[in-house]
Amino acid sequence: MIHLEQLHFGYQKKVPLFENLSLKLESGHIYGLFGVNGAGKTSLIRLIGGLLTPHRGQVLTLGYQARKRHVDMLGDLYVIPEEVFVPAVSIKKYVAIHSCFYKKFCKETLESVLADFEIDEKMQLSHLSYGQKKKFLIAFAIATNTSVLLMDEPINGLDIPSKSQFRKIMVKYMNSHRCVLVSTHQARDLSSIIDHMLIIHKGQLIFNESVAMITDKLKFELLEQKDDNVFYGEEVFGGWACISKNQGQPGRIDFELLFNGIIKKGDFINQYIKGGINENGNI
Amino acid sequence: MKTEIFSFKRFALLLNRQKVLMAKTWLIAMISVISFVFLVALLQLIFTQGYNWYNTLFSYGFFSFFVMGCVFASMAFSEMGTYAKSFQYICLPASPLEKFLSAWFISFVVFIIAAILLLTVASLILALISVMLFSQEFVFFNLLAQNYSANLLLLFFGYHSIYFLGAVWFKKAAFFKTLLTSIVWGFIIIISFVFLFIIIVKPFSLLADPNVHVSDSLFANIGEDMRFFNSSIPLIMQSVFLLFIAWIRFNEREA
Repeated sequence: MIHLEQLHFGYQKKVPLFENLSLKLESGHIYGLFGVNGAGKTSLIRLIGGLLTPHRGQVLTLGYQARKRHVDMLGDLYVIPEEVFVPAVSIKKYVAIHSCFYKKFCKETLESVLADFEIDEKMQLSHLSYGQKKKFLIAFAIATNTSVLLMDEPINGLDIPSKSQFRKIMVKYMNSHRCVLVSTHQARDLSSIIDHMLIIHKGQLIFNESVAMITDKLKFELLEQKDDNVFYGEEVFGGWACISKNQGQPGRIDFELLFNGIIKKGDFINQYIKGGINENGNI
Repeated sequence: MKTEIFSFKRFALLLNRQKVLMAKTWLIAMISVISFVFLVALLQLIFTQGYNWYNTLFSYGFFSFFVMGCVFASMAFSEMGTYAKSFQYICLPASPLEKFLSAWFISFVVFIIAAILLLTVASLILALISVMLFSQEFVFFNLLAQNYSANLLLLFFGYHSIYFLGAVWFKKAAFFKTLLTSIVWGFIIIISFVFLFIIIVKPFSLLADPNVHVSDSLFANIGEDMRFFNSSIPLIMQSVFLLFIAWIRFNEREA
């Protein structure tokens, strides 16, 4: 679906943002893209959407060179940016002039998602609040039924009920033909829908694992004291939030804790997940 | 199977999209301009008892619509000004050629048709008023049949291509930036020509007739020398060249 090969990119030639970044995203997954501020999450989404030009390497989206913005690629891809803008027309007009470009657009899906988000179809887009505009664009994006959906901080600006509604909608309309890439800082809010975690840091993809593999290998628990089995721990109210090796049933992931752990002890955790560390904790 | 690079269906959809998104701005601007021009021509008609109103209508009308056409050309790609807006336009499933041509078509062809229609309607109303109030003979002005129409269209084609290039080039305030750039370029070109004349033409002119004053020899021949350049071909070529640059730049634009 999406294939990045030895990607080099930067806004200034001497300050590279990505160096030799390679990544493959397959259909049927919701990928969570994490990274500190300025790590390049938005830039990566723009590169995949053909909105930026890589310096070297290639970005293949749906089999096309993304930057060439082929009609077939654009027709099967939808990008929701972090900052949204909608023209001052009614929802009906917006849908009428844009939906015709998407071959798989489903009006019933749009109506259903808008109803879930409690947005009246008869409204003017300019009369909607920022969060409502974002919800409208999310609804439109889902209704396009495109194979690739790129979302940059989709829940920024959404209220608490809408975040929950968003999760339900994503699960409802996810299918095996669709590949969703969600960039977010709000790891906890999206933890229930993401099935693959990607972390970019200092121009590199430092973590790329499925949620199934993470829960199989790692355990996230609150301990009174850090012990030797702990890969990474943070002092929190009431003890230590720790990542350790999982020897029992798969549990829940604390995405925030894992993110911090990967940023600080990425090599160690990565090697353990990939089987490079034995039961005694030796590499 | 790959989709073709140009489809009339998608082109029509893009035109429709542009029409819906820009209708309000165009309507307000065009009605304001034609109302103002109409009012000035009406006053002329009343004060001259039915004479000369058409000169006022067309001179003011052409000038206003000319400037407005350049402003609209500058706004042709205003959607690409910010990332929040541009993603919708750039990621819209249509080829770059379709997007480029639809923007040009709306800002040039559709604009000219709209301007001619408005001026014609205004001239018809004024002609009727002059018949009814001052018993003048009814005159219908077919703008397309006037002598100056072709030259005016050509001139607009030239200016439109400059501002259209500016629309692709500049992300914000494209009209003013294009205006400023074209003034600077104009000065550079004029100064370069003057220097070329002084360096190349002047010595030969003086050799040919030493009694002729320098300024006379320099400028007296300009009219004849430049006659060729006054023809329409260079203007068309220059405009097509600018549109070509705009097309290249359009393909390079990022969000």
